[in-house]
Amino acid sequence: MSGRIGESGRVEKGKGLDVGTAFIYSAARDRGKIVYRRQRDAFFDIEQGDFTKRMLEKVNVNYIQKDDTLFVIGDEAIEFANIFNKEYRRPLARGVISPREKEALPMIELILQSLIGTPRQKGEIVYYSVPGAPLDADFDVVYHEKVVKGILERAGYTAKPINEAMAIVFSELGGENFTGLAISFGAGMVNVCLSFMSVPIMTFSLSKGGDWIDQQAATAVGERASRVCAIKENEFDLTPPEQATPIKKALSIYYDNLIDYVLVRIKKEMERSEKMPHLKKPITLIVAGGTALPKGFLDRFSKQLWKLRFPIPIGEIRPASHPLQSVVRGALIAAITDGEKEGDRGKKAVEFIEKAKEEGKIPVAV
Amino acid sequence: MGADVKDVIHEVSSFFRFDLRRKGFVIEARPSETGWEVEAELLDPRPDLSSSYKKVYDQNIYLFRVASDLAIVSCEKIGTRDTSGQIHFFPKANRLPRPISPKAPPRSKEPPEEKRVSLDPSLVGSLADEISRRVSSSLQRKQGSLSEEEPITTKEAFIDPHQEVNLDFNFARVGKLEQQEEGNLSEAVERLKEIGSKKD
Repeated sequence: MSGRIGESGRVEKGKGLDVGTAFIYSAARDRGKIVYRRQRDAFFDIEQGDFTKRMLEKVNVNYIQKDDTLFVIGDEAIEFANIFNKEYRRPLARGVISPREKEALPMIELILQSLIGTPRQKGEIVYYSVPGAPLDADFDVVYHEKVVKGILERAGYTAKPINEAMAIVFSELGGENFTGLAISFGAGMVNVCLSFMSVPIMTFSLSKGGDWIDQQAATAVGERASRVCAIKENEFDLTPPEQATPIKKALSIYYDNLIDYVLVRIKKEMERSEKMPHLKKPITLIVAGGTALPKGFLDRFSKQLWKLRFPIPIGEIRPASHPLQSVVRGALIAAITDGEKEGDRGKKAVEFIEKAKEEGKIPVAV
Repeated sequence: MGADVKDVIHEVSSFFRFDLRRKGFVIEARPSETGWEVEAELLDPRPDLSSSYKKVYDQNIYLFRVASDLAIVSCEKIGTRDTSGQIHFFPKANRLPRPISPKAPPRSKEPPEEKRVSLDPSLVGSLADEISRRVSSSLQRKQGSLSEEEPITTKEAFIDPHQEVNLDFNFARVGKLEQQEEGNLSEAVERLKEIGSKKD
């Protein structure tokens, strides 16, 4: 089987997958465009009944039935949680498959495989994002990495992991020869990568993110975290010096706290590391991720950054051109590059053999 | 003293049920130079992505090597059962044993006394319910068809400890669709390849 040919004449093989705490994204090239699919990582369980199933089907809500329980999945899980005034469930927590949600593994497998679809050729390469090792928490990412790899390989892919923040470097720092600092503010964690000429010099994660902000703000004002999350995602703005409601005030405080925490940890790690490159020119810093989306985030981030003296010079600070898709986009770039390199190697081998035959170095079978 | 065949079968069936998370049954257990060799037929799940995304099960034959002290040394996929019920063994050259433990346990100095023990169905009956009695049909191998077998790539995927459950669902593909122009994607790919070739 061979890959499909796009308008550019290139074989469009290779896919990217960003397995995030809040969203899973897949990306593939198709006829000169990048096609993304986005699925929210959320479940909401309701009691199974024929009427309920018919009702869900009528309103096009995706569900999975396991025994006597119906799990509404995706964005609608959050809507249901708000209607029923309950919390929704997350199959991933702090960037990895939640150890408390092991019973959800078959559902995660089903969702991942139906999001990414079938391989377009046998063993099509897919790069999937994995978080860096956490600096401030006692868990590792190996289980998560292997489970996702197993799921993708069972679907027929050749699955390769890529550090989440390194994927942002691939997506956003091509113009800087893949040199710079990428920070992904996700829901479960913050991922950091310092890259020099596409080589990751320092990668790590911190186990605070958007979920932490929601939980802290919710506790502070006595609200549900899912309601705070809905406000943060839909109407929150970090620009006003005075916030209008208690929830927004709490969100603003915890945003400051998170930014400060992240920058101090990055500075400490840079100071501690013996691998820091001596850079003559200031490097570019990229900020990505859903938690960095509210208006005014970059201003607050920059102001706090300039207060600290980083051991390496920081030049431009810019948001990712695709803040939500930059990880999956970088993973796609890695997959295409990997596939094309393999193709190039094969082509070179054929050319070498042909040349050797012409020069009589290899006997030609008659 | 050599281990009892009953213990060997029990050890292997516990291993595939709890460590590999597979359903299946033991076909044959026989003593070997280093301990025991056990053939078992296991159900390997894979998603049927062509239509329903439901799981289908391949029936594969595995060879477990068991040390004298009953430690599982390796497990190797050695064949498969086709839809007509026939077992096809892979050519030996294509088999890749999958080590279970980084270091094989110490071997017993005394080789087991038994020369070759075929599985007695009455022994199977006393084991767990999942171990079926389908012994006789599995033992009818066709030895002469090895050269006609398709070469099999025996790349072992990571087996994660997921549960086998029946799921019902109402979708073919999930996810909201978004499209974007390629932008500088090709440029980034070319640059990465260029940097990569300089490094090489």
